[in-house]
Amino acid sequence: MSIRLLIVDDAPFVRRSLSKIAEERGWQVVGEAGNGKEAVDQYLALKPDIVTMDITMPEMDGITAVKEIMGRDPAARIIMCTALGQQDMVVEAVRAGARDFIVKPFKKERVFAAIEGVLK
Amino acid sequence: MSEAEGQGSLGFEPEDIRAFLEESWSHLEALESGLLELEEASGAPLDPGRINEMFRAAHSIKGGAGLLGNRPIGNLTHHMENLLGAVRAGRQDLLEAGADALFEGVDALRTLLVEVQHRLEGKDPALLPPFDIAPVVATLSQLMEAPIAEAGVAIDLPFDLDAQLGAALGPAARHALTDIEGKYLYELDLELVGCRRGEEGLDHPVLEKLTNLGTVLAMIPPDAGAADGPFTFEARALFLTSAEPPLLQLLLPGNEVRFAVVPVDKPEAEELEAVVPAPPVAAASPTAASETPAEGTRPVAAGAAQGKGHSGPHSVRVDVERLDLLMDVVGELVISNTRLNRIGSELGRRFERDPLVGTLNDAMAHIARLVGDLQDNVMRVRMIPVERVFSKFPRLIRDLAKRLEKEIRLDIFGQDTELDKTVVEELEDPLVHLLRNAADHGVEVPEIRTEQGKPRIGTITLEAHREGSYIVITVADDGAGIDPARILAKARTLGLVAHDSNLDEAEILQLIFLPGFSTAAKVTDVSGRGVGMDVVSQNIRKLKGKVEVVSSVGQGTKFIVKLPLTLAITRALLVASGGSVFAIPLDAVRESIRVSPSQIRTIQRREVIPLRDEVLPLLHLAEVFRPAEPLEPAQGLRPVVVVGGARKQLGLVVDSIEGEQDVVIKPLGSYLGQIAGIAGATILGDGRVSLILDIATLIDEGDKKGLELARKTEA
Repeated sequence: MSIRLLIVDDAPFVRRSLSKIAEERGWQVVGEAGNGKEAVDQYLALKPDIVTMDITMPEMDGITAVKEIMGRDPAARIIMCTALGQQDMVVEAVRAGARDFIVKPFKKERVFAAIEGVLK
Repeated sequence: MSEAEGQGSLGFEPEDIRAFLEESWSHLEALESGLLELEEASGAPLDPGRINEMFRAAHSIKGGAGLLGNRPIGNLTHHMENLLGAVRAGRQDLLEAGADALFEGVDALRTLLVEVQHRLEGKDPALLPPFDIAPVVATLSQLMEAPIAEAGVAIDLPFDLDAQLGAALGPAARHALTDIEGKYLYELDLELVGCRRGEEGLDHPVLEKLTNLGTVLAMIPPDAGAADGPFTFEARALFLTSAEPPLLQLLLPGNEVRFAVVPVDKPEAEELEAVVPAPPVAAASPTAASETPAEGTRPVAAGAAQGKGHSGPHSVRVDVERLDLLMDVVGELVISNTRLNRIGSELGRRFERDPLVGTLNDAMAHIARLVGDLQDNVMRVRMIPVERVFSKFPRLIRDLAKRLEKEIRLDIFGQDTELDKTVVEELEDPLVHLLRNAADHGVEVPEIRTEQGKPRIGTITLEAHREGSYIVITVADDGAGIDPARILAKARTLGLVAHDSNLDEAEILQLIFLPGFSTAAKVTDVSGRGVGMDVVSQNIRKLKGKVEVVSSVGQGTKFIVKLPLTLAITRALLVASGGSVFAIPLDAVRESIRVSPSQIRTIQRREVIPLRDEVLPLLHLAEVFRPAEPLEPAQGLRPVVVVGGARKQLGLVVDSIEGEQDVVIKPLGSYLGQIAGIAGATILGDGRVSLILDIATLIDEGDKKGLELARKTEA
């Protein structure tokens, strides 16, 4: 069965580029969310295998969303998407339960490696 | 231009490009303000956080440009990022030598972004002046090739480091080590398999991880020799991060990275070890780390670690249109609530004894409070700090000073003061005007200043603070000041002031805001003042604010701009006149009085009444807006609303006063256009439409009318 992915980012063009990377690997993007709140709702509704989570977003930031999702499903597999300069936030997100992180702009090999590493 | 054509390559929508632009503009601003800050602090140790922020701004734009396939922007930001990266790694000398190049880079970037915007808007980019980034890029890359200058001042560290790694620390890295509260310092042993050399230096997942988890302060060797294919890079590094050992263990592959915590010689160090026992093997499972509670794992006091970036995780970006919509809805709610209150009190009058009426009134009082809270909070959401515009000014003054060959310092205070977003945006032009004026005509050239015993460097002070429901912004300079005698002479020549007018000094200075005062080419050098001041005054007035000037010859000039916190809702006094209802913003109302026809005198064919020690000019509202209809002869006592500021007042003669109410200001539709004396329209609680008076304009109109009449009389 193909990997089911939920992509969370407030910038549409980041979502689009991640979708393209996922499709290339034959993964299925089951949902997209533009903020943390939507991410939590979609996670509960879709139960994806993997979530890619942006950090800075309107409504609810990615770290809070990780905490909420982990609170309801401690087995959730979340990978943070970070931009340079968010070091401390990445650390906080991993403390909150995120499994790994990938760095924008994405290199597809790194995205593959992170997602496949977490699913192992 | 063909380089930039790749915009559509990944199938991006216009909205994606718009998002890229929006982000890039704010990064550009961060770059520019960072540069200015660093330049101001010349010599002092650099703030690594600031450098980091600038580096990240350049990096983010580069990333976006990469996704969009915009090569020129990618290329330019790549070189800026390189330079900033080197500065971050300790090459402070590069920043000193490269500030101008970076400023040029910022300007070039702005031009390129405008180009993207043009293309997005379907305009022909060929219409823009031709622009070549090659020289800027060349300057930036040349700097990188310059020899390394002497390192900065050594900073003593309160703990011991490995001698080799310690020696490899640059000044910025040393500085970063002086404040490591809440962080861990690690010594890393790297053995990176499959390392490559990308165009940005070494490329390996572990290196990317490290730079995104913390800061690599030093690495030996800093780079590997020339190598074509993938190679194994062996190095030792000093790494600073807020991640505790178990997290690091989780995120870094153990076969490529081995690490040890460097004991930091501080009292906190014991606590550090006590909290994180860090058995290297046991912590390796991901779940163990995810169950680590967020609190308590921080070795030292929390809060120190969070970066000083502009948009932390707790800020929110909302589309302005949504805010406007929300504000509209709240406005309607305020109106309906007012209406409901009227019905409630009417019911109370009719069914005095019904207990249900009491309950209704309680419920309504509660709703009124809630609506009030809602209104306050929505208004607060629309507020943004004036920093948004203030941050552009240091650059403006820097460039002006250079061009004018003056030495000028800009002091900014109160940039956190918040104002309605619309107001902040509209504020830029008038403030630019005032600042330009202060730099150009206020501050003298250094030689003259020295001659007059003033400090060589002129100071312009920009300050914002809140006063009640107003924001006051002042632009002050310590320059030549304005000579009132010359202003008055010019104003008389121009016929702006009657020859027998009796103005005090303060009133004379305000003449520079009169339209016509500055348009005549010859007066532009009147004590160096007056250029376009009427435009400033008009702009500020559009924002329902006012501007005044105080000055003393030889000491300097100060412009004081007073603005309402928000434009959308205001409390107003409702008056009836000639069958219409008008709303007068309450902050313009001084008092209301009753006047009998016998009190009215005519001076220079203008109706006035004596009010205490002053003479108050009168204006019949009905006459202003329905001049065609003959005035009914005044009979009995008539209500007069006294409006205006401390200096100038006007009595508005009306038919009746209806009471106070919150009104939501709506602009007049385009079919009505701008009507002098009308600020907008509002819908009242009972559904009637009322025009909102623009008092400042009415007072001016009244003056003009008085002046015309006075001139006629003289002739």
